[in-house]
Amino acid sequence: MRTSGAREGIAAAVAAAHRAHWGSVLAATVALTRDLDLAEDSVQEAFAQALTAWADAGVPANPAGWLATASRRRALDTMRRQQTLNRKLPLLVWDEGPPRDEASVESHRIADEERAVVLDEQLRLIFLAAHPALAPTSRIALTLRLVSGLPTAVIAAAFLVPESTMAARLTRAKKRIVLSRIPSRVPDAEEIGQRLVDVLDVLSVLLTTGGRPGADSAEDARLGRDRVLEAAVHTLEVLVELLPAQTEPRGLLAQALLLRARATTWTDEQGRPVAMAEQDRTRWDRALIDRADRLVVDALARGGRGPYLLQGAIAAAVAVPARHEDIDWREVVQLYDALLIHWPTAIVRLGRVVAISEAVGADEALGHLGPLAEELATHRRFHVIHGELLSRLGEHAAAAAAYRAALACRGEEGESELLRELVRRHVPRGNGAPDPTAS
Amino acid sequence: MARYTVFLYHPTDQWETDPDVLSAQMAEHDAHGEELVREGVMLFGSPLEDHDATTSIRADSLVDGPFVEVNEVIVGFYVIEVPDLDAAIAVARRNPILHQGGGIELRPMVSESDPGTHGAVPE
Repeated sequence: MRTSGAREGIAAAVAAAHRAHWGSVLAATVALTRDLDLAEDSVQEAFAQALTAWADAGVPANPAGWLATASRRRALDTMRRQQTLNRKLPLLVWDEGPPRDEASVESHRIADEERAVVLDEQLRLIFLAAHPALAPTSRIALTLRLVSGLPTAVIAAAFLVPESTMAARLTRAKKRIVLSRIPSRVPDAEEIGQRLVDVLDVLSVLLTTGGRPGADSAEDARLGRDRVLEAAVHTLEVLVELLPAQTEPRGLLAQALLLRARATTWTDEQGRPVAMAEQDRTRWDRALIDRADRLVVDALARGGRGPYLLQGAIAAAVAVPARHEDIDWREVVQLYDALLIHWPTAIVRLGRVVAISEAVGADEALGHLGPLAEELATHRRFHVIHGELLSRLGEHAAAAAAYRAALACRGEEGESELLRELVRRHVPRGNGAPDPTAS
Repeated sequence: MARYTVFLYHPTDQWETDPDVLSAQMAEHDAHGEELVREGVMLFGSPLEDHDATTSIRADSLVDGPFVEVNEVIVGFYVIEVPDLDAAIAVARRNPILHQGGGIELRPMVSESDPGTHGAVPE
């Protein structure tokens, strides 16, 4: 007799397989159907079938293989049934050219033939979803759907748009792929560098969205963001495994792992942000931090100096030391200098200002902050950093003004609460009119 | 003899949705095209795919969809045959108009066997 506990176990196994293998099962099915919608439906049905089949016969030794076989069989049935019907849309372009990187594909094949084919196909979908001819918002939605299998409602919640809007975006993007004949292929050696940047740009947005701290009122938005973060991390793991010669995915994966490692200390119990110097490092996940550190060190040793790796190196340099006082801020400043070569943006310069304030001093940092004032006038973090530097230099009235300017910019409510308190603390006592924001 | 390019326009918010009316309209275009080819007037013509499928290229960017500025006009056109959009973009990027301050709009045409395609691209 089967207990409800066993049923829950099966449901959990299917859910785990969904998270781990959706992308490869879909890729294996699209290779057969060349039709994204038909493939998605077939994968969906295969997962539903797994719920009952695994309850009867037990979880198979190779769940991904089982699901791919079931899904392809379903797709074949549907294709046979529809053979007489006229197709409205042309098929997805599935470039059959030989993979350029024969050596690495070959070694995969020797190790695990069945799996290598599926992995190569999964890589195609990752590059397809982030194709530069697709609008950036479409790339984000398609990556979450085709690579990670997130339901439309979850994607919509994470990005705070109505479900119907997200559904229309996905439909249009898929139609666009087919009509424009955007090919599904792994880019060759010449273009893989740039195409990988497009993929990493999408995943970086997913990390920012998924990792955004904050006491969002809507539960489904928070859950949606968790799923988005999980999807981004999983896709990065796949990229690191499938493109071992590329160092940039390692850098972004390191950032993702560090984000997760520190997730519990971003905010206090009231949802207010906690300054990094005051975060309890003993609560950080050491195993994740060590793995991130190894990824960064290894990629730098291979000669990688790309922007996502440098960002990962900065995050690791700050998170790895056991105590905040042990951070080597001069190294962080140097890493920012290298990052500026790739991304000479005001936001990167702002990060560098913080590193300078720790490595040299608040006075020096203030000099570097000035030139950014105009461009970052509506950027809350600029004013927060400005306030901190002024506060450290003992200029309390000016610091209060900077914190007020920060409050005037858009931001999380938890942070606003903290800023109101900082304004109160920095307004000199007993000098007449009370500060309206302080009450 | 002089050559002219005829571009057809239609408002995007007034698409015919009734499939019967639509196919009657397409048949009308098809008959018209055949007539022009018979008369030796038309060299080559083809319906274009949905406007959503446009890719725009500028010297430094690729954009999903059309982005013609109001002061830009079509100054020429040609038909290419390549396996997919990546190949089409690679060919189009070699066009000198891109470093002359202009831009390119790539619009897939319907398959050759679909109604409305007539003639052959002249040598």
